[in-house]
Amino acid sequence: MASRCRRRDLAWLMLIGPALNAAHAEDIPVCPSAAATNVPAGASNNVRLVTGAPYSALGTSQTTVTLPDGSRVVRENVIRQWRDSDGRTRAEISLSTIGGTPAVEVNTTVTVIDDPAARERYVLQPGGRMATLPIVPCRPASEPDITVGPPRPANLPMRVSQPVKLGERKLDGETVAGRRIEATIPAGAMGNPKPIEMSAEQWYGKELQVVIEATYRDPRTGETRYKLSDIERVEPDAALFKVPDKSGKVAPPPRPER
Amino acid sequence: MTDTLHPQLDALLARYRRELRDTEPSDSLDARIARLVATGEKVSPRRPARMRRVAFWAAAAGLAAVAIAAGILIGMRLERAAPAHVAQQEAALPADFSLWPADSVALQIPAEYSAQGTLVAVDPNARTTGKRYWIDVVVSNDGTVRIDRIVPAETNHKKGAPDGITLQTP
Repeated sequence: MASRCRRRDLAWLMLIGPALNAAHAEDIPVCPSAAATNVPAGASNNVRLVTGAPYSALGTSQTTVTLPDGSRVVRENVIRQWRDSDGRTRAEISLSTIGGTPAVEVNTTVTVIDDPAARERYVLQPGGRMATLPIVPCRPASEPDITVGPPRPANLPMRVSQPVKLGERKLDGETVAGRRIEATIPAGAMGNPKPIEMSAEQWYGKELQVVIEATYRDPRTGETRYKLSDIERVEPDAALFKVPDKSGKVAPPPRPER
Repeated sequence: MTDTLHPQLDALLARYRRELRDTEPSDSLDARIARLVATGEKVSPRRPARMRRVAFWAAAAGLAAVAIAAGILIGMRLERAAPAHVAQQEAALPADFSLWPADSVALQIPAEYSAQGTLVAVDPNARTTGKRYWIDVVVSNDGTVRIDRIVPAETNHKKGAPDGITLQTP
């Protein structure tokens, strides 16, 4: 009798288990677009939850500025990133100099760990200090959000083209889809005698759901090329997602060879 | 002069004759008059002056209510339309060049101008040597690292962590 009961319970569990899981997945809302929230990227506490696609990679962003005398200034910022099957992420952001007017020499590394299950983001700072921020996990929208990013000055007129699809291709074993957008600041808008032409091109990994390659051209800040390299589609070391205790003491995680 | 009457005039005269005949004393005429007297109140198209005033004011109040309701509805529609219009403009003009979803983190970094005239990140615990600024930086995994804004440290800005790098909250 008891065994029959256990068998029945097991059958029920098998029956409702997937349904419960599906219900849990449905609990996570679709990420709102930046336009809908009217909150600039980075300032929102919504964090994309991508599960079942673990990887580690190195993102390198190289900005080249050509000065009026013809000389070139090259700046590089690096983000080493990991994501496990549960959607936990770790990003080690090494900033040297941030382009723009004026440029800022930062020369620091900040580590950001997002734990969607705990709904917390941990920022590990130089010196072992840590800051914690609540996050709201959300499912990536099926359509790309073309309004992600910090706001541009509202009073600066700008003509922006509709995104142009560039098709798909293989890049480092990843199927990537490309999009390109162009923008123009009309002549005289900011004391410029000629129109300022800008463009952005991004190639998005369909399986990993991250930008694999990008090129940004803006005569004001130079040309920035971004490339995600050293892509490994394996489960990262769980120690990478361990968060220090309240005292801030934690053993440094194993750092993969670059 | 013509000897024959115009057909229309002829028809009118015939009708007049018929009506004269009907008004001649007869049983049917008496019955009609009795019916009319019995239902006199209903037949009378004129209502008392007081009733007319009440009806007038009721109609005026109804019209006023309809006008106020229409005004409220139009106002609500206009109010709803305004933010939608703004949102549409924002959607038409992408805030940035990011074409695909990306993950971003906003950091606040304290900085000072160096002797070379460039902004350099500093340790907030270090003694200030000049005017200090907060730099809001947004780093995304689509390769964009952008300065969102730079504000003097004296302004009412979120206080940073001891080493000066904090998350920016909405």
